[in-house]
Amino acid sequence: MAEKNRRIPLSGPLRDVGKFLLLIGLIVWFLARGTEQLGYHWQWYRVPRYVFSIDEGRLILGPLMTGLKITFEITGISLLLASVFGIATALCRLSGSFMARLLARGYLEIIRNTPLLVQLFFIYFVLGPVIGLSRFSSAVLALSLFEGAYASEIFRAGIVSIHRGQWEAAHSLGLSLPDTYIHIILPQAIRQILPSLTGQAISLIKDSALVSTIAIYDLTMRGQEIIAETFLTFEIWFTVAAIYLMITVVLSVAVNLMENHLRVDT
Amino acid sequence: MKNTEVPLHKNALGDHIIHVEKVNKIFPNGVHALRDFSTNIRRNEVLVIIGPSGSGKSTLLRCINGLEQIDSGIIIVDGIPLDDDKNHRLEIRIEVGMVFQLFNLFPHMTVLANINLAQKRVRKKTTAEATETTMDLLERVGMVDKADSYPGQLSGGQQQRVAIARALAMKPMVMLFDEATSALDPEMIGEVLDVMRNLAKEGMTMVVVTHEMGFAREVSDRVIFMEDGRKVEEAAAAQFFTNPKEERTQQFLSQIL
Repeated sequence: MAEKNRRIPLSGPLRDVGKFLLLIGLIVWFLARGTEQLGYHWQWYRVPRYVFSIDEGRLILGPLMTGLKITFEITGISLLLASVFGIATALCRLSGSFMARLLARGYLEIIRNTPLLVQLFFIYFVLGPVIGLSRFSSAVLALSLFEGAYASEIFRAGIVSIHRGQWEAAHSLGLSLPDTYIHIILPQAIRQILPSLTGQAISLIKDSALVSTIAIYDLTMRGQEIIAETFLTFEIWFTVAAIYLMITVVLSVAVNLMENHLRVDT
Repeated sequence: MKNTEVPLHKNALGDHIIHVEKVNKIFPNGVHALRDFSTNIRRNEVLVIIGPSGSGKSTLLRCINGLEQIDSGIIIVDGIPLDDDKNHRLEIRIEVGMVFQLFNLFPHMTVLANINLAQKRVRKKTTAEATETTMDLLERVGMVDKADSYPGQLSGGQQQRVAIARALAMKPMVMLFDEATSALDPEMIGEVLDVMRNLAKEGMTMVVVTHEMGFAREVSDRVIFMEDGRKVEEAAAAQFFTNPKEERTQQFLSQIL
């Protein structure tokens, strides 16, 4: 490595950072030129107060941050529910019961072959009034049913990837099926599928933007609202996108660290 | 042993802890792994099963503890018939310990947790009680200092000794060994055979599928030679190795001894 460094100046991390900055610079330059031709009048200075402001030494969250809180609430609860739906559906698909397999299969096919937006509308406008779901509950239910279907395929792949010998050892020790899943199969399966599950969680965060269509004041909805009032179209959409990006990047990095930690343990 | 029919079987079996009668096993791919196989295993007996690969030795062990469903015949373990009754199958699984060729330890758990798990979940012991038993067993297999290691950090021989301890922790009445040393490097076979030898001396009922003829000769009470799912010859160990009756047995022994 040391020799290589001498031969190629600016190699390694430094060069990567340089490339990255150059690329960003180019993109910004193109955008700036493009918007100049449009005659767009940038007013970045007006943006910060929609994120947060400081009034007499106290931090006041702007509308974007209160929206982000709703986004967090919706994705957090949906993530939990989606995991439950995912594991339950995977177990049903792998179970010996024909009915369980049929139900799981039906759920999967319906969810995966219709648009999320239609599911959201169906649950909010049709199911909502019938079974008395609030706006928020409808959103959570739609998102978790949708992501749960995809998560279940990930869980199923993880479960079948566990070596048959693990099942046989558990069987010969007299462990029950639930104990075998809880203590032996799932802990190993989840380690294997953590990267794919993270991808699914990131999808969930992004898909949560759709709930703005049923007038839930999440991050996206707040952005639209601010733009309607201020016409800061470009600035606000950039800011909203950056906030989503930050959340997903932080999540990826956190899971990466967790993964490394788990790998050391085994 | 809640079942009322159990004493009846026990009387009928007398000294036999495992009764195998006319068992047939045909795999979905058409392989006829066991053909009208019958034998009885007595308490405290060490039965060694030998034979060429694909002769049905492992299938027999796997049928005895319910890992494979038999197609016809009768298997009774300590008075409990291995039938469609879930409770019967569960009791047999608990009472019959099994050691696998590839150890099958749980890689995400320490050695201690591997051995504690079924004691806590199946035998309903507290962690302290389970740990006490576990440490005793690890002492017996010479692995006390590895209690907090993960299986991946152990050699094959060490993993197999832990696997034996894990099976023993359930206090089984019978131990089945399915080619327990076949996946091991030669220098590690001895340490595992030592553990098995000690178990035999302590009077454990054992059914051992092995290719280790020296071990079979030394430890076994009785030997069965199998081929094509059939019992070719069954004899007391001394007689089997010195004076086999069947020509096929003589041929097999001359090849591997």
